[in-house]
Amino acid sequence: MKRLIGITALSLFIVFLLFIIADAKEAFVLNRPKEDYVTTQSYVVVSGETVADTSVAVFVNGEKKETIKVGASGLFVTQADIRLGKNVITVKAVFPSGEEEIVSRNVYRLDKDMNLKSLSSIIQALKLLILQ
Amino acid sequence: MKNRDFFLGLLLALLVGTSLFLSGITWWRLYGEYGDIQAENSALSVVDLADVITPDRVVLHFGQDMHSVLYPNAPFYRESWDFARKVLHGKELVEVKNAKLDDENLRQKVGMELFFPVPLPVEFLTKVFNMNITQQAIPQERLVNSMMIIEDDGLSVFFKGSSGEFYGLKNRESSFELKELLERVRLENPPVYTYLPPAKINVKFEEGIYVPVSTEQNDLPVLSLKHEKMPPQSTIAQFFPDFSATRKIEEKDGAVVYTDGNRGLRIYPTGALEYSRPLTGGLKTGSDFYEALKIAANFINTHGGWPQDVYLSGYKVAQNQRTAYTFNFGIRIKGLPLLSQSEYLTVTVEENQVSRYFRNIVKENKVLYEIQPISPIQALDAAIATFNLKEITSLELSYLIFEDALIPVWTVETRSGRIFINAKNGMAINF
Repeated sequence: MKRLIGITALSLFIVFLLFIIADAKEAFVLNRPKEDYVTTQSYVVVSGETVADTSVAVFVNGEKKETIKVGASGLFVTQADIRLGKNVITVKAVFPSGEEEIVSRNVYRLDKDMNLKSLSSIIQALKLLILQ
Repeated sequence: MKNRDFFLGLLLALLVGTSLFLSGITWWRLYGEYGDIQAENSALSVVDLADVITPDRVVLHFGQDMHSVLYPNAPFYRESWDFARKVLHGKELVEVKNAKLDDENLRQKVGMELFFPVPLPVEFLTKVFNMNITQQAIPQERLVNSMMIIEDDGLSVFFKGSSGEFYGLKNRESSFELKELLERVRLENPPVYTYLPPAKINVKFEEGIYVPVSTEQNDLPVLSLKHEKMPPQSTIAQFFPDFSATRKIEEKDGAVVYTDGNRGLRIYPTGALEYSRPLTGGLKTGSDFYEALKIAANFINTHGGWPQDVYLSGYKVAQNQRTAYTFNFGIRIKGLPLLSQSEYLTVTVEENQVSRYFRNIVKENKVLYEIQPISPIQALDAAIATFNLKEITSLELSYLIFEDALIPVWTVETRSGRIFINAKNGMAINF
């Protein structure tokens, strides 16, 4: 009987712990840039939302550009310079708990003289070129 | 003896001269002040209602997630508003039933969105812009929050309803003028904004916001303020059909009351005035929203003048035995709304007549110093950290009367009230 009570108590404790861990799971949303974003600008806006006191580092093509300490609202906005062609924007969030989350997005910068109306075909061509 | 008379005569002449000089100076000063007031208030023959509902802000969409926000004192604001009015003039409006229309999609296109200071009835807008409504009637009570003009294989124009519905122009025109206007704005390098969608992780923020991409923002002045001076006798007389039949009562608090037994006008020592006229209830047919606002605006115009930077900031429609429209007018300082606990300009219209009028106009005076406002995200951080907020409905840069000065603040609206964050240092203001 004692053993049964012990096992039940342990099970309840484990379930309780799992609930706490699940609840404490950090959240991170990268609003901008969108995946495969195409622009003629020399920079992209990097924005998103996370929990307060998170440290957000922005990398462009593997090079660290900026670190932002997120305030009580959890919102952050910055801009990062990009080069012509394909760029990889990586955003690394280090939560107050020490956990990390990394999100990467491909961004394409085109020359201003290019016709933006045929963007989709250009992206495809660019992708093929890079893959080769 | 002769010398004494000569001396006294000289003294008398000197005193008379000094008296005349001082009186002249006083009258000259007073005349100057009244002249200033007259110059500040427009003497319009009739008020154009489109000028009463000028948008709080115009958001320009340049494409590629690039936006700019024009406040009413910004270059190109007036041109954008005039363009929008021109686009609507004489056009036919229909309700749009298109599932493809969504904010995010429209925001990514090239165009502009004009946000009205207060949701306005569709029917009212069609009258203001001289539009036609098709046989497919749009219910009068439908309200419109903003207007969108989008480049989409021609010009797509929509009114965005407060319930998420859209009303559009039946015919599509060339978008050349829109693109040309946006290009001219873009060449001036206006501050670039990005759109942050509604937040939900750390705080629930119901509406998305446009935030400047650059950390540097335009400076805003902290200003001293002045009130409108006491109305001259000619203005007071306009409130009564026969001014000779009015009595003047001076009250202990310094207020002066004029009454003819029916109408009453109280002038407060600050220069604020309050007029009331009880109605007989004889006229049962009331005016509609458009007519009532027209009556209110023209009454203001003829009773003290139409002040600059005044706009319709709110209204209430009470339907008892007769319909009563109470219109609240706000003041903009440097293009931003001036917030206060007291009213500035309120007119109640019943039975096609004004039954109450309150006027207490505050104006900017001198620049005390300039500040660089903190970013909207910093303002949100400060408000949430100070008040432990979990839910926010809106965030707006505005002016506030605080310690006899006009100061720029971020106004954070929650379901339980407003919070003011000093735009200079992010400190909460006890108000």
